[in-house]
Amino acid sequence: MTVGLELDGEIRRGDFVLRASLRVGDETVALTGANGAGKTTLLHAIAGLVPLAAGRLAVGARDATGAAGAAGYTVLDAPDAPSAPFVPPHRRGVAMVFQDHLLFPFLDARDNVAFALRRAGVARGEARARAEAALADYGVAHLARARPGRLSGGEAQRVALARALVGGPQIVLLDEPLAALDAAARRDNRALLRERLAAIRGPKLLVTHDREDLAALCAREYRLERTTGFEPATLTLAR
Amino acid sequence: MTRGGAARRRVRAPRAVVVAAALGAAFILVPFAGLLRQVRWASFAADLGGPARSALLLSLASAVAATALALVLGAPLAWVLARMDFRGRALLRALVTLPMVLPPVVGGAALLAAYGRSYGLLGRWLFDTAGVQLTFSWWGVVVAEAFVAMPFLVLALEGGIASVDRRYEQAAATLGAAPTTRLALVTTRLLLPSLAAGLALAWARALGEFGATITFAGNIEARTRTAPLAVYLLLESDPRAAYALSAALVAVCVSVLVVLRGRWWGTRR
Repeated sequence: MTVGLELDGEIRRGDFVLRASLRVGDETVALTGANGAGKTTLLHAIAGLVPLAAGRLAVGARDATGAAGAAGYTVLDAPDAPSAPFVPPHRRGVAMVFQDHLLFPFLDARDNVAFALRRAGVARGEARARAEAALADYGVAHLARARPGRLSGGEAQRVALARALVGGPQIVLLDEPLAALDAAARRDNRALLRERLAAIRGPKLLVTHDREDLAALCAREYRLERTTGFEPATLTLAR
Repeated sequence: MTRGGAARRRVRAPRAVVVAAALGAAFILVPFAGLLRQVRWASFAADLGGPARSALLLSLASAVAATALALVLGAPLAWVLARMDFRGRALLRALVTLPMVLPPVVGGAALLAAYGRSYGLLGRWLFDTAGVQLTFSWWGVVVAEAFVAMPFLVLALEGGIASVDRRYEQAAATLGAAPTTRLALVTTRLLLPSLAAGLALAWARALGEFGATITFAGNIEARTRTAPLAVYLLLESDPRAAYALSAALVAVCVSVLVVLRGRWWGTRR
């Protein structure tokens, strides 16, 4: 039985077309490619922030025969299917970490993390307690009551990781999580991320430009080729 | 020190421009100086009693009600104008902001033609079916004020909604927030500064409303006679009361500017 993410599809944004075919199992896979090749767009499609124009996106387990429709197997987006299923982003169980964190500026670090738990129906007091525990796991317990504006890049990122991963996601998407950090914070957060990602079961996809991140965090690499003219950008398995 | 403090450049302006600018400032400030000179401070409380006081209270209350009505009707409109792309959006925006540039008396005439009891487009039906009469009532004052004030709120909110970073809403979605939750907990929260500015502007406009009010709701003491109407009438009969009431309105409007401070002057360059 394999657990994982399956995407065979096409994403369009205006004139931009991206064709992707990807399989991610219980592993961390890198997504690389030039700026503007559509890496973020691809993550957005998996998160449900952008619908597929064609094809199929599914997550979960298949049985030994490979038959779809087994227990735990969910089609997230399939515009060509007769019923055109589309699971909206808030019901996909995705954790997405954005490059500039996007912590809510009007909430302190603890309430940012508690936000996800509250949406899952956890009561306020318990959500805050669990948020504090999560912040401690990421080494930023002392910043629980700090507003995002007062955090350094490395600190903000740890809070953002705690927020995204606290709910036990079934898919993890990381959009250049280490790119905006200085060298020291980058090294520390890379080690932390490696440890945390190893503890989470399921498909994990990491956009990066950095060979060190790739070597330290990822098992495999998909490369998005940017194309010119009318050819769609395509995703290929590197190596 | 504000952000501009350190970076503000010393510009050597031509003398003629400085003189003209001083004249411009004086043009605005001299009337206020004159107004304050007419106020008899010793008897201020007494001057502001009786009809002046009831008009002021009526105005404060009706401006609050009008702002609330403008918010309920205007916020969804601002959202649609900012977020939805449809044919005729520019035309709709222009029409909605028409009361800002229209002579208020014409607005009052239009309201009369729409909600008047005897021949109004909807007014007759309102009266026959529900017994509601807006003309010459306190609610008529509220409707007239909301009509002229709502465009200010809609424009301020629309600008705010358009400038909200939508990626915060995307982040909220991936954290499990449904669309209505995102609107209530994220978008609205990010909009609070624009909302405060819009409410303050709309309320100030409602407070000062004269033409549409007198045309549509009339000038009935203790029912539809607002502070601006009272100032106009008292200037004939009791100038001291008129100036006291005027000074009170100036004080109220200065407080509104203080609410907007930091947003419209100071931090913004």
